[in-house]
Amino acid sequence: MQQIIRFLVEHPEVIEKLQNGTVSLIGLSELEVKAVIKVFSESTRPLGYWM
Amino acid sequence: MSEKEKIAKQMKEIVEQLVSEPRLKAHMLVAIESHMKESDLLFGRLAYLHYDLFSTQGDHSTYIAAAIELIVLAGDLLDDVVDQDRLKDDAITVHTAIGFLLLGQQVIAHSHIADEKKLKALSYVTSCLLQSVHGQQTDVACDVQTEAEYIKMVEKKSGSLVAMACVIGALLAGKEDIAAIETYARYIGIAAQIDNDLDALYNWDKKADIQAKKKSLPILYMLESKQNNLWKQYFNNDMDYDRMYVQKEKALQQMGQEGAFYYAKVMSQIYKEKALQEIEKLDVDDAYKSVLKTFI
Repeated sequence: MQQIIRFLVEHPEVIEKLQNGTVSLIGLSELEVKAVIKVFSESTRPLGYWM
Repeated sequence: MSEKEKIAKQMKEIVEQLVSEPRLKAHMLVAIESHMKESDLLFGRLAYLHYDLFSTQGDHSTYIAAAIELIVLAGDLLDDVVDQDRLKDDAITVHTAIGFLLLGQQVIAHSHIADEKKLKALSYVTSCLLQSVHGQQTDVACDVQTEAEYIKMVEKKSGSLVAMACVIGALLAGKEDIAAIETYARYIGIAAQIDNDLDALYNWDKKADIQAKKKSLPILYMLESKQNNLWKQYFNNDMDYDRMYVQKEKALQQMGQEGAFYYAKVMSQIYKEKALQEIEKLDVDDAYKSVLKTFI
């Protein structure tokens, strides 16, 4: 999961494609993909608190 | 009166009835009051809900919820002793914690519920508490090196306590097949602990976790990074705590930039989704499922 997150942080354009279903993440279950999409779409910034 | 207020009131009544030593009693009542202000009494409310969900006779929900919350409060106080978060008087704190731990079990033992159910429940309490102690010790010893080890540790440390709350409610109500309940309860506990550990980073000044070098998921993520960062320097003992502390904003910024918070939030969300899936499989009224989901 760490590698996937690092990839998504470096390639944020992939997140929208994931949401649209035009790309998929190999090695992740449907439930894990759902969790990734939910977290990335809810947070525009990782933590506004100190950014 | 809200469910939370009812449970807190019952906790105080139990102490009033069963604790005779005046100073210990006073300390316990203050601890309950303070606990009520800081906590939503989630463990007690989960026990309440599960008893209510499977019970066909008798109304012991509040009594059972208070017992579970007393046991959990004991754990919180012992955590404070270990973390030395807010200690003024070690002896009375330890006695209060042990008192709560025993009181909670005595309440279950003396409840007007069939002996067979009580025996199963008390055996389950002991088993969960033992698991939790194992997890706590792994955490305090900073033995966690990988994501899998962290998840295993928090499942023992926190998952077992949520399982205790849910399963005790169910067992005392007469539910025999507890496998599904245990599964989603452990998932809820894992997700909650990941969130708590994230919270400890937000509240660096209030928690001793970073000074104690506990490895939560965002920290494991930073230690695995290919780039040099303050977390690696601190955890590899190339930098002492005071130097780390003065650079805390930079350290947290590095976490944000590399995606460490996303990582922890995704892991938490995965366990929340798993818990939701398990709850959906339960053969109970949809209204109960909806209430249960509010705990996630």
